[in-house]
Amino acid sequence: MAMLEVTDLRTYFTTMEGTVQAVDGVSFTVEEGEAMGLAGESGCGKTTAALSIMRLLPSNGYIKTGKIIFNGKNIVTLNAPKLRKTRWKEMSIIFQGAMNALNPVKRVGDQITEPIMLHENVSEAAAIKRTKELFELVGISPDRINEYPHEFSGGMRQRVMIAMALACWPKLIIADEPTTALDVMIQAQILRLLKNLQKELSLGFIMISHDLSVLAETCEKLCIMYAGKIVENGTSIHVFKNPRHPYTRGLVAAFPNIKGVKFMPEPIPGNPPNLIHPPKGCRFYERCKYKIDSCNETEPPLFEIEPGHFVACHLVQKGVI
Amino acid sequence: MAADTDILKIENLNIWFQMRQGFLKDVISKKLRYAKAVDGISFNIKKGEIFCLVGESGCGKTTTGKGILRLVEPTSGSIIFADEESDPVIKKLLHLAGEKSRKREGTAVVEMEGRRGIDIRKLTKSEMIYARQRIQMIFQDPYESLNPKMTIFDIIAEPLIVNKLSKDEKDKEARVRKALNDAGLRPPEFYMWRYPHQVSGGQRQRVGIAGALVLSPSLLVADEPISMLDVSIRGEILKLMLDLREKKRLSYLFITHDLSVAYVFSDRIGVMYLGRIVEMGPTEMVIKNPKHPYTQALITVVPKPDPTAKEEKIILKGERPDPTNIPPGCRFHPRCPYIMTLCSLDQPAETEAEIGHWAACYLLTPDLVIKWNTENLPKYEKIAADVEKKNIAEIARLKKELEALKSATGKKDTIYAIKATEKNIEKLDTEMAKAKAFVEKMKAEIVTMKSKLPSASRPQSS
Repeated sequence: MAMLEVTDLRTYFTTMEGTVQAVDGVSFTVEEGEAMGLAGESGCGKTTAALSIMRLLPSNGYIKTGKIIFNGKNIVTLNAPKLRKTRWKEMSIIFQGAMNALNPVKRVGDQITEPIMLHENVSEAAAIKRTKELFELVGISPDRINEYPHEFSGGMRQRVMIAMALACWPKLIIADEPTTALDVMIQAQILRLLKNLQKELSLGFIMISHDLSVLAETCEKLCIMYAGKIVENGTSIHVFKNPRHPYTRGLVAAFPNIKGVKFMPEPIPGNPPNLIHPPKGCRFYERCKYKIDSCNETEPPLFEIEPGHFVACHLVQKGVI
Repeated sequence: MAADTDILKIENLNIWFQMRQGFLKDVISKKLRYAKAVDGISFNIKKGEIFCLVGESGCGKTTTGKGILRLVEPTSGSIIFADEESDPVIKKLLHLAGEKSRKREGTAVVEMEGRRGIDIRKLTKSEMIYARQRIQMIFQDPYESLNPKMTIFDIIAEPLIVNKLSKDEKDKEARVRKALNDAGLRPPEFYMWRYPHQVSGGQRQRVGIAGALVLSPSLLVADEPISMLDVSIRGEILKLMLDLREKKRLSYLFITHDLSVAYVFSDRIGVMYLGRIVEMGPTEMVIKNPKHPYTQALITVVPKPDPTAKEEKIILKGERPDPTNIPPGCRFHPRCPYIMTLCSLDQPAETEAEIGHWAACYLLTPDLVIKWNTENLPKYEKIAADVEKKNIAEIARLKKELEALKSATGKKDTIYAIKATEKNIEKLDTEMAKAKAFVEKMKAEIVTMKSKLPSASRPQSS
């Protein structure tokens, strides 16, 4: 059985204008020691999906239906004390902006020892010892645990965030755009660190990014999301070498490869649909260049095109493209 | 005008920011500290060309762009802008710049290749207004650079009002419509009366571009124009910029940290590191055949959208260094995987590797390294020998002392004395080893550099 199994997750937000169907029927699994990438444009619901798994949704968001089975427990129905025990101890999250995710008036070491002491019955000395070990693991000198976040550079701060996520040795880590605000060289350092840690500790790993090329280098499995739905799902080789959904094709073509042939990134014209009133049929209908009228009538289900490679497109299912 | 004339020529541009060290220190100390954001760079942009500056954040690429528009004041150097003289604005500017002014020495008009250019750095504030009609900037973040309280019409009309360019309301509206049309926001009346929050991110960036186009510039400084946009619309903006170049013969200074975008979009690339251009050349050459170790490393770490790519990444250690404390010699040497003795002592010259493609690195001049190393080897050998001689004598003396101390055991302070002497001996030993290793390294460098000489590639004895 998979470590994390998300089935038909629907997360909605109540807003003044109506209910936003941010995540609408998403299913995927993550095995132990497997790295999965969740990709898509901004607003496609990838962060919402991650926050649903952690049950960290803002107050106007709620999980309408769906199951999130993690290590045999359904996260959706857990009560608050049990949830608190699961978070950090069994799964944790690395947030996007390391600048804002750390408390600026507390020493970084204290911010890591705090969850260790809360979750595990250990003395402060033991917690500090582990914090030092964690710092060494992520490549920061252990002498720096008494410094404040502003004394660290962006890359170092992101390392602190990683150390913090690892504090109670969780089995699942969700990284939400962990390198987006960083320079290419620092990005490469952090990605290598994450990949090594994931392999060494055989972590389940969900990486969320808009940058497909970053996911290509770190993840074995990829889910492409569009407007709250998964449109394509498969190994990264499937997705990059044989993209089938028109949106995935567009997305893959939007990334220039510095080692490959020179081509202009191909834009995908148009904008994602409004998720308060999502279209009845395929959500990519408006922007799709292959569309036929019947696409707008029924929602395409995920269809297995080759073993382990799923695509949600009527035309692919019919064998037209 | 011929196709390959320069529209912009920058020579030895320096932009330094003075560091505050505290009031008293600033007043008393004679030595001011500077953050050398841009430290002696030269490049040119041809008419209709896209020149791209790439580098990590903090390398001075944005400061260079801002310096060209004098949004930050350059410290020294020249920025020569030479556009078609038939253009009334340029004509007026040449006339004004040729006149004497109390605010500058001599004239701001510069002769170059039989044409007249204007040194932007010498223009007065009122003359700068004219120059800015022909050099415009596109900013990075379309979410922050547009005033949320102004309609798109007002945002785009603002430069016309500032420059007193519109004769009447009708003319103003016609110009705004044209700019919106050019920027691909069609039909203009659909967008004109909206506020920035009512349009999408890609459209906002188009508004930013329309705001730059309304003055019909000939050079655009585009500072990371697509990095804040979603991937699916980046291509649109790049295509728009290419179209504008075709239609209006625009030239671009394109500033980006993303080498893969630079690769597909630009004609020529300059790679910046810590305020200097370390490698420059036609895009294809720089990306496919990088010469400087920094460029080589940067190219390997760019994420590639290919899960099967198995390439060794050259990940440089450490973070980017500090522009207030620039290392001597080649400024890249503390992070360079191929560091040689000469690198930390003297700045390497720009060496041409292919036609139009140069890099500033000693690896390109093996003969120079061999010459320097062979010339200086005796000097360092002598130093090493001296150190060895002195240290051996010293060690012998210390060892004698140590024995004397050891024979007189029992007292507590002798234990400390023994430890201290042992430490001293160790220190002298490492010093000797270091000096020796230094000489050995220089010798090894000569050998490796000899293998890089063009003549060495042919088999000499067979």
